[in-house]
Amino acid sequence: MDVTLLSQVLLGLSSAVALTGVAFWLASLMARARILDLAPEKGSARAGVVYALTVGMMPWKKESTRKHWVDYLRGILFHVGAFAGIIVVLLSLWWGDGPLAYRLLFGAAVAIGLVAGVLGLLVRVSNDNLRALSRADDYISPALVTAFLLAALGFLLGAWSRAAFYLVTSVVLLYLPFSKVRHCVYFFFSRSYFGNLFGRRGVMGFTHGNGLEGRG
Amino acid sequence: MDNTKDTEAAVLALKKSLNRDLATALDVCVRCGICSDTCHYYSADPRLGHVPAYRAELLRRLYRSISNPLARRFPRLFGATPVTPESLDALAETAFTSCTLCRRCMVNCPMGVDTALIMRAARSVSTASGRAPEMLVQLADAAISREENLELFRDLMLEQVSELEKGLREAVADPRASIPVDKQGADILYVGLSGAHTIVPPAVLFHTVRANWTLSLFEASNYGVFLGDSARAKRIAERILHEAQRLGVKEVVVGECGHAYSTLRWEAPKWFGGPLPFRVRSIIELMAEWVSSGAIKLDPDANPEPITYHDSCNLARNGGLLEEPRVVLRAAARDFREMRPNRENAYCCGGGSGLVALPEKMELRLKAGAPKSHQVRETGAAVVVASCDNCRIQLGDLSEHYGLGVEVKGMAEVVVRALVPSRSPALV
Repeated sequence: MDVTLLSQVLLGLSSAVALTGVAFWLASLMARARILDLAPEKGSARAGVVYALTVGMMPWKKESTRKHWVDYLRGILFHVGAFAGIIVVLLSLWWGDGPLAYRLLFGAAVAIGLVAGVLGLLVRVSNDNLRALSRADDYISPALVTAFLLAALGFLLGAWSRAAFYLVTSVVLLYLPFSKVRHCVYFFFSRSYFGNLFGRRGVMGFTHGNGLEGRG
Repeated sequence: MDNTKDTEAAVLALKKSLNRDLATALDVCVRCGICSDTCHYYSADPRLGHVPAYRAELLRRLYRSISNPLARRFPRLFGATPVTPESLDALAETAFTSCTLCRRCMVNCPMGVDTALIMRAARSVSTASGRAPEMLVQLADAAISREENLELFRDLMLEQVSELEKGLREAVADPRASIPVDKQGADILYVGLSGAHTIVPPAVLFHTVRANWTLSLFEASNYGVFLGDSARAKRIAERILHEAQRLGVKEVVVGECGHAYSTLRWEAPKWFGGPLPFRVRSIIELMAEWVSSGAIKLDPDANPEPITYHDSCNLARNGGLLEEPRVVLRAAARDFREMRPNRENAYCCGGGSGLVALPEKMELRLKAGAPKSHQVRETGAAVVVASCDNCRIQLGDLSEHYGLGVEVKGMAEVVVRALVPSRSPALV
């Protein structure tokens, strides 16, 4: 059997495992009761949710991300790289290597994500608090995603075969349901609950500043 | 409680707490550590035990051990700790003394992890396994028994109220002024705290605006909330619900108390399955309304010293009272100064969530109050207004401990001082 075809089959199977895993966690979460906020609104829960998922994610909106903007930016770039890598996997199924402009654009995004991933791992290893906070999966998950970015970059640059790229991707996908990568499932819930809580209570939304203006 | 029984009770409490919000908060954290220095504990004493993600991780490890077979099989890989007397001891110590449930870390978390929700569940687990501080348990149970033995308390309370009425009459120069109790058909049921300072200044204001009000037989505090014990918390809130329904009031007004306000305003409807059959407001909201509508006239020159305002976490970040206190203080004080950061980003004073009720934790809370002390000092204010009794106690202790030289006052006290009798209808 052709190696590329075999890797495609493996990619298909691992994608099915990953999607099934994500669906399982999603179903487990949805099976839990939701304690609804039944008090009359002061602000707007809806505006709070929209805020939390958009403007509220901007680095200047939080003291923590203003202060630790390098770490935040590193995290953002890592995630942008990962999403770019996923797009590369999908497009490669129909588009092969793709045109040069596409390879350069996505290669740049993936390369930056790769650097961010390596730096993130170094920070986790070198920071005492982060090391103490971390379990083994906190190293394995970002290491695997970083390896995926390396494979994607290698593929875009023509240094890695499609089969090798798919093999690395498959390993990441197979591990995904068991790892902290599944925070992608919970992220939207968490930010929505955040927005619902603070929006409903009139604490946050589009009408509020960041508390640093010293209004009055 | 023996070891097996208390671990079983802990597991049961944890499973019972596991709603969708809590499961999300437990599973979404990626341990990036960016929350660290948003916490007042960590700012004052930067160590691992004060990192919000670390504190939450204590419960997360137990959660994984009961809900994730893979984590149970590979505890080092996925971070799981079995529920044992030792792990419960560590959880209880952290839940009750290293987190005031202020939600400052949540506001600053890119994921929006509700660490306060997690720590409240940790308190619930600790209480169920008999590890809650005895003082908090006693205070909660005393509040419940007050309703059960109301006849015993009523006469004593009426006697105390008649003493307070003397102060009211003197303040408003009206011998007919009264503090009504158990008044059927009143519009407002005012729920204060123990202590004249939470009853007389609001009584002066109610008298001034000629409100149809009555004083509650109960205190607003709810120590069941501090225990993370929904059953006790509901029972304590229920006393006020019953009283309000019996008197047929339109509105319950909570005195200057952070957790009592956020509990009755935001949490209680969850326990009773729907909105309460009356409006719930803080006395701060009423004061802001009276100032805005001109129902009371204030002379800011009556409070000439620099005044700053401490945003209680339960009133501001958790309660939504961000602008109302400022409306009042701008009208009541000549030199109102903001702390920075403020409003939803304000630092917790370090005394919240029942900590001021634990004398053995005084040193800890004074240390945790260092960032707030720094904020207060930077304003150069002579007076700090705190609309929460726990915050008032803590800020007074911080002033003494850090030599801040500030006086701590309640908002109603500052407002009453600024009242202009000739322009406030009932004082004429």
